Amino acid sequence: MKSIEPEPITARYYRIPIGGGEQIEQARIFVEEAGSGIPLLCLHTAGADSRQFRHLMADPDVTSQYRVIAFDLPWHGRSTPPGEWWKSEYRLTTDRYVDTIRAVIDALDLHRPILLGCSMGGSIVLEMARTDAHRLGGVVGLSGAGKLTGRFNDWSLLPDINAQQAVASWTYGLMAPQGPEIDRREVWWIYSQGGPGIYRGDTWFYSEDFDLRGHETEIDTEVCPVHLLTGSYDYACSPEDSKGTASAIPGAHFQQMVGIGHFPMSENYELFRTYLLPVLASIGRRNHPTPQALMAAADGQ
Amino acid sequence: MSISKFDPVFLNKDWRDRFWDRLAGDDEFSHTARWTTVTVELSAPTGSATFALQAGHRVDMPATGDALVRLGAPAERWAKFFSQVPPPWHNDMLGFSRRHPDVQLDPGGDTLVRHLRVLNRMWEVAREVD
Repeated sequence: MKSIEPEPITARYYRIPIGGGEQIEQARIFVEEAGSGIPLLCLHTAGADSRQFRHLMADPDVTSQYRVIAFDLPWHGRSTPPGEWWKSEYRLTTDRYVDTIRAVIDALDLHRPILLGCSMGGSIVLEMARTDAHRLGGVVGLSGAGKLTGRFNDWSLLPDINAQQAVASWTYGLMAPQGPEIDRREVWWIYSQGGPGIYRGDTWFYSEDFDLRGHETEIDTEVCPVHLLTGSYDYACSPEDSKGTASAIPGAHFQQMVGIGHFPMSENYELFRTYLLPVLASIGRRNHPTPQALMAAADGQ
Repeated sequence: MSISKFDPVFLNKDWRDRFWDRLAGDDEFSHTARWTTVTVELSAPTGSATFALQAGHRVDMPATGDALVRLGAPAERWAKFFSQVPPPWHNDMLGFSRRHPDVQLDPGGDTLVRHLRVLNRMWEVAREVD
């Protein structure tokens, strides 16, 4: 019998120290990747995992130019919770999220990766652009903004609510009905597999802890380009929310993705890539200008 | 009560009967709603309709107490909500109520969340009804 060709995704586990001093934690992080070239580090949404980027990792137009890397945050997917996790409530803070991304970049020795994050990932890339611009090649935030509210709730921990189905169904409504049903159902499925309280703990960051307001001008888009993309069906982070944040960041770009919702890379990849590829190309031209572009810039064009 | 073509579909008894028939034949609803006992009242300025389930089956006598969800909106919003491909923020009960000040979800809360999977499916089926 002829052997079956696998998908072009490989995966490893890394033992990574996160944070510093008394706050340091040893984490076992699941990392998967495909492609080669400029590192494109992908950040999954609240309560989910790196499976959300599987379509991106199977896109040869992307993987022929980018080393697409996605990892599961601790407590998510195949990355285990740290230490004696059962003794404490999970709440993701801005500082811990930043520490984790830095630790992964260091552990994988990534040179000026482009960050591509969605939802909470789409918001944290803004903080990373503010604090770590010189370490990054650019950031692309999907479904993110400088300040959002309304996603942090306690109901997913109530004993008389089936959070496995309720969390998945709550996030299902964030997607556009036009997306292929098989892909939207996969988003639901991934959410149904999240650990207890994890989605809630992540939305602590997304909806409560993170607040970029008043700090937008600290982002130097000359060093780190910023692109925000948000879907027209997204009611957790509306296009207006993202546009407002982009407007406050000098040199940032915003684009509304029409007919798509909160999980663009998962719910309708074919439509999403029509928005993403030009953005990546733009960042690429910015970071690696052609000789012609350099000459034009020198001539003041 | 006479129903005009401008009224929401759920005020039309024939539409409701077709909806229940379609729902009874839906594979996903059949296995996911088996433990669902909830009453949903949809209302518009010209009237309201009640959709009551007991253990996943249609009942005429609605539940009382906390197994109740009420969603009210103007007729033109309902027309979009029940269209085959709803426009943004008209495709989901929670987005519908959160993003439009003229849509009221009360009560909702834990009852809505508890039955969200089944309720979502009900409205998906409703959008398939002529």
